[in-house]
Amino acid sequence: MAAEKLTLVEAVAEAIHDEMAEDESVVLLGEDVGRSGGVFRATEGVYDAFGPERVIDTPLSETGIAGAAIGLAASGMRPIAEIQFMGFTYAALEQLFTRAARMNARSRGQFPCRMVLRAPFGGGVRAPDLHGESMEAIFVHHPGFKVVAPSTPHDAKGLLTAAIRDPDPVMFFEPKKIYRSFREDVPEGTYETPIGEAAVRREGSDVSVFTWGASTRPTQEAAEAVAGEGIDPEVVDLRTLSPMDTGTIVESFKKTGRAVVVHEAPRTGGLAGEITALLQEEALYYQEAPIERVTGWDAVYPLYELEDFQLPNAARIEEAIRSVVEV
Amino acid sequence: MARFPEEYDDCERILAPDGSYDAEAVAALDLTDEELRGMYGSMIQARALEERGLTLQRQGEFHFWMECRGLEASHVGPAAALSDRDWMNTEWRQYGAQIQRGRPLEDILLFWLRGYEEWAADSIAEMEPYERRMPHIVAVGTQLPQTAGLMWGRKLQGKDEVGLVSVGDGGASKGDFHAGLNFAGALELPVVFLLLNNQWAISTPVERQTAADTYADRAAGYGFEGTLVDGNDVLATYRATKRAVEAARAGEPHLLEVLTYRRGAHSSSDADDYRENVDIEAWRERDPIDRYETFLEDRGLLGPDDFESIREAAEERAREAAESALEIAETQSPEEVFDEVFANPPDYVDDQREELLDLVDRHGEAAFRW
Ligand SMILES: Cc1ncc(C[n+]2csc(CCOP(=O)(O)OP(=O)(O)O)c2C)c(N)n1
Ligand SMILES: Cc1ncc(C[n+]2csc(CCOP(=O)(O)OP(=O)(O)O)c2C)c(N)n1
Ligand SMILES: [Mg+2]
Ligand SMILES: [Mg+2]
Repeated sequence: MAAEKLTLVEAVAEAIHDEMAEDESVVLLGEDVGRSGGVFRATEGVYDAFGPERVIDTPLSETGIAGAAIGLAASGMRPIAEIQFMGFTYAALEQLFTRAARMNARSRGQFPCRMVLRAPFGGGVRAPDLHGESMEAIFVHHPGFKVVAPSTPHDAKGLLTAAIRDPDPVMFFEPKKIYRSFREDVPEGTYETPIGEAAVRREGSDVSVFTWGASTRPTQEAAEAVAGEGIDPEVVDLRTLSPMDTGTIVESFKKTGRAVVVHEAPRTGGLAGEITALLQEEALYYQEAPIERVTGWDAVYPLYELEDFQLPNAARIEEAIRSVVEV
Repeated sequence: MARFPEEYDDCERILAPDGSYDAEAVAALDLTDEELRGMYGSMIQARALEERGLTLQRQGEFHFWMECRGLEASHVGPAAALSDRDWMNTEWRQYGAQIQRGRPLEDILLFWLRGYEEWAADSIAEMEPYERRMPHIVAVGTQLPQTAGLMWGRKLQGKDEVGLVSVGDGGASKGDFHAGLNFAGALELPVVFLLLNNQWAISTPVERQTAADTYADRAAGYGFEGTLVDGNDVLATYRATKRAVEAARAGEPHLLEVLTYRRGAHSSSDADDYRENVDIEAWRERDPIDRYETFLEDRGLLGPDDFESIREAAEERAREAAESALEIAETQSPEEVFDEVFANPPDYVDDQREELLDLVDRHGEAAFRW
């Protein structure tokens, strides 16, 4: 298959474009997704290709966007709804939690909620309040959703394609900090990256570092840095947060006996706790050292220059790796 | 808010509370005798179902019941005005609307016993009229933008269908009301919004929901028409919905406020001890079924003997449906906990189901019952 070098945000636009070409029931809705191509240009070119019937700039209402997407799904369409920033999904949560996640169960399969809700997540773009949220854990905590967070252009396209084709509501969270950080080969034409499978980004034998989204970048940096000191970390990019690839997580830990979990979201109640509990249940006897969490602080998201202190950086991750390896 | 009895008595109507009626308006409805009798049957059946439901709730057989008496005309007329291909997303209290569209009573009752619903059709194309609905919502108001989306999708598929969605005077205070009506207006969607103003949201009177005189006036804010009709006059609610459906089919949504009164308690869990200085008797005198009986008799469509036999048959059907619903609900088993949580389930669903079944197996079902 031919490939082209794309950024993550370009890969998102391409997945939407290709699925809309493939399947007439796919429609795109959201604020400014049409003519302008979205505030991050994640839907660039889609309006020109498919026109105002299938690419709809809606009134400014996240409740309305989520509610309409649920109804569109019930009608037999396959909506892709964009919420401009994850922090504005707050206004859509009632629709999503009380309905999208449970419509299939409450209708015993008659009305699956085939929709994708896309939102850029995480910090690092020096934007105002509510533009740096990492709320993925609350979605993972609601059965009925699938929750995906790609970290590479290749996966962004493949996972978004899989999400659009999946019969369940998929919350698709895009790491906005690395939307344009790098390019990589992305195959032309459609392909699926399976939902529910983690990717081992670096094989190693001393410690497993679990992460996702934009945190994969400082994690990989930290892994290379400690490798120079003779520590051999394994880096696992979860890619899908629900259902979590518990098999890969547990296997990696059984191999290394040590773990660090890295996420931007606040520590308390975050997914690092969930992953730690999983390892306690499934692999306690393999454990060689306490599991460390490198996360955002339990603070109201600090803005602008202060963001630097909130997001996990390579220095913190390196330190955590060293500390669990030294035990 | 509209004051009683002045504004109520000024509502658009065909049948007055005393049963007198506007004969020309009746002729213009173009309803067959069969259809006129059918709406009566639906209202009676709804009331009989309620009596049965309340009895069974008191006996501990049902968990819960939402009360409907006195509200029958507010939703039976609108349901009758829909075409078979149209959609109807009403809330849980509107038993008569479901009955009017042909939904089996047992199926209505099973919602209260199991909390989920089932459809017989394999696809939308194969649905009976009563199946053309989304599952019941429980978070009030959320159905409004959902119905806008539903009809948007049907419109994109080239279907000539209208969606009727109901909301209460309480639910209309939510942001969903604005989102739903605004989307429908801005995107020109074929939706009729049926505002069931029964003047109470549990213990909160309508005056606490809004300072406006009517809900119908709100339509102007969305760029379409609104009307206010007597919600206890089944012919008026039928006629107004018919007009609204025609407008919606032509691309203009409509807000229809039907003014009625919740005489019963909010639900079987409601002590109903908060209504002071309210003349429930005055509303009993404006009962939708009484005035319709007077009308039917006057037109020679049905007489007192018929009323009695129809009521008895309705009671019998309600009894049978309740028996069979209770029997079906008894067959629920623990593995159902996981049914259809996903359309494409991940492995952990099977793992947790096995975990539960193993526990039930080892401890016995009785250990779990409370
Ligand atoms: C709930 C919410 N959704 C999305 C945004 C992102 N956003 C910021 S300004 C804006 C457009 C607002 O338009 P308008 O209300 O007309 O105000 P104007 O920008 O014209 O002053 C959007 C979508 C936001 N701030 N809040
Ligand atoms: C979002 C939400 N808040 C609260 C409730 C609890 N509740 C159930 S019915 C009800 C009152 C609804 O009043 P109204 O919309 O007038 O409908 P009615 O009960 O009169 O049919 C309330 C508060 C709910 N179901 N959903
Ligand atoms: Mg403006
Ligand atoms: Mg009410």
